[in-house]
Amino acid sequence: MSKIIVTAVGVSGSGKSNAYGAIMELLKVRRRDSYYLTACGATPEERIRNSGIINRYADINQGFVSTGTMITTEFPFAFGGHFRPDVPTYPLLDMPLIDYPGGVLKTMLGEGSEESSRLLHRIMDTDVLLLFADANILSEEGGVEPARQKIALEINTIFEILSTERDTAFVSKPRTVLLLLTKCDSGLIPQELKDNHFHGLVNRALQVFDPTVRFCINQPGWKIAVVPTSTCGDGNSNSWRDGNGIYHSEMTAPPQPYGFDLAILYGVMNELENRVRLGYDDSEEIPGEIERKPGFVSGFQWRHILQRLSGQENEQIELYRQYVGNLHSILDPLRGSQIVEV
Amino acid sequence: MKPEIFLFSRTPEADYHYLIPLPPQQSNAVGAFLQQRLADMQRGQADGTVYFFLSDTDAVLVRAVDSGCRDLYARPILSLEGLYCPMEDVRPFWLCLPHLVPGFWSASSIYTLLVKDGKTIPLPPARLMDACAQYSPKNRHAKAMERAIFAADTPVSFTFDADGLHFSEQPPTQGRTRWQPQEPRRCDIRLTLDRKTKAAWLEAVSRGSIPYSIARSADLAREADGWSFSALENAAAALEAGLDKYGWQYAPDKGGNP
Ligand SMILES: Nc1nc2c(ncn2[C@@H]2O[C@H](COP(=O)(O)OP(=O)(O)O)[C@@H](O)[C@H]2O)c(=O)[nH]1
Ligand SMILES: [Mg+2]
Repeated sequence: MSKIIVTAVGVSGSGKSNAYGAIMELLKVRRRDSYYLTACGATPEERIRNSGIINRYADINQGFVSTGTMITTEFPFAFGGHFRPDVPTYPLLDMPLIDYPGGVLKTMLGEGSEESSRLLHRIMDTDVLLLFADANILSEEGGVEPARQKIALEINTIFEILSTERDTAFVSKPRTVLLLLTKCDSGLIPQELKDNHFHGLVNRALQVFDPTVRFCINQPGWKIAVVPTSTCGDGNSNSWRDGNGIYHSEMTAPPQPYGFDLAILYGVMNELENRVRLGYDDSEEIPGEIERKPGFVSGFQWRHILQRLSGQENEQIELYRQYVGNLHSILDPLRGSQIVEV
Repeated sequence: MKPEIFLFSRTPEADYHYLIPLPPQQSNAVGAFLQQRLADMQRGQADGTVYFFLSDTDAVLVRAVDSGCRDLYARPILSLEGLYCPMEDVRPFWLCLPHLVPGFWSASSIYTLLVKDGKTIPLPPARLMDACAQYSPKNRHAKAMERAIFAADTPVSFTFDADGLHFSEQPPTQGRTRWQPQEPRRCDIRLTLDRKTKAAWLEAVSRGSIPYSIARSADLAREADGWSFSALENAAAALEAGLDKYGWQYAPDKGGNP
């Protein structure tokens, strides 16, 4: 099956693990507008096993997930939508999601490790990048600069390095970056940052992630948008900061998460649109016999060329086109309020 | 003996990683075993159960516990902590375990000893072992553990929890899997005569290059014309009879242990 790579990046405590719980609730359980996540796998046995793996992880219905992330966990997901009777009920794309300890980012800039280099390569391969920005930190009194030090230093550095790489593979493929404002339910966010669909908070986030944001805006074909999110939903939490500067959050009512599903759908929509526009579908492996000269064309262009040649792409591309059309009809009305394109 | 302390945990700021890593020569089996412990800890299992895991070339003693500290988001900080032991020290390490494990099980996390202000500070392993040795005798399973460990002919993997010691029926990934109760191990009985204190005692010691003490008689006082032979003989018989329960046997004609 074709695959879409979605990668979540954020410092420790920015809300990644809870986001996975929310994503499951929104897309696996509630299935927004018929779009869904399910376990992937080549056989029913594998899918059932994977389903078990997924269900054992973050369940936000018990309150916030408060075990820190110790080991990297992969969610073997597949993504699909059954928005019309004539589209297949089975999933369209494999969408493996990965939760890793946020400290890996720090390691990347420090001593480095096997894990941190795996994450870096995944970022370089990603179709959709989810950047996590904690609304509580963005709301702190100090404003932009301290918040940048706390939550954006690593990712800004990574982008600075990748954008000046000699190998242009990273920048030449169109990608979608989503800046997720997490914990938007928090009572610690001042009203002036909240007003008008979090206009003030969105601006602050853009400043905090400035080098990264500017880079994305300047890349042809890249998209960047900001999405306010919450795991528990507005009014369902109690958040405070104690005398030692420690943040506490309690869920006070059953969770009504929002935002995360829109981010995923928006990312999928853009990626499929790219694939339609470029006539490219990544389901076919590059045939082994044909040798590819390194440095001549990127892997991405190469697959594209091969598929054009083989003329196989049409059916899948046609399906992509239908998804794109339907996703636009769902997401376009939300632009400017729940999805802020930059 | 040189076991080394290791610690997988986090500081309030930095997310989970090996704050004090294991030495690079750790075996793959030990690496895989610890990865399994981390997976359990991720699922919230941090009840302090002590694991002794033995591979063909090294061993670890490890447990997962709540450190009692919290991170910047008030999340409990868990700690996977323990001692790594290279091959050459496994045997003496094994013989220390009765003094170490029950205390290690009862003591609170060593996280607060090892991490201050977000930085790790060195702690000599001997300090940890001494601290545990003080707690150990208070554990009601300590005696039974001592017997079982000394009776086991070769080191084997086990767990230790509120119910005491459990030899691993099926230890995970590639460890030394089987614990086979052996025929009693053979030892010597030595007589020591101390002319200064005028005391004598008998001691059962293991055979081998580094004999260690298994059991010892009470002191026998010197009589006017020396020590009474029958008193010594009686004491030796009593000592010998007691050896059984430790899994040892006095067999002077049979040579060393396998
Ligand atoms: N109010 C509020 N708090 C949240 C939300 N998501 C996470 N938190 C808090 O932030 C902490 C860290 O979240 P977590 O998902 O573990 O962050 P990670 O380290 O990036 O995986 C949690 O323990 C919660 O206290 C949210 O949507 N709303
Ligand atoms: Mg996490």
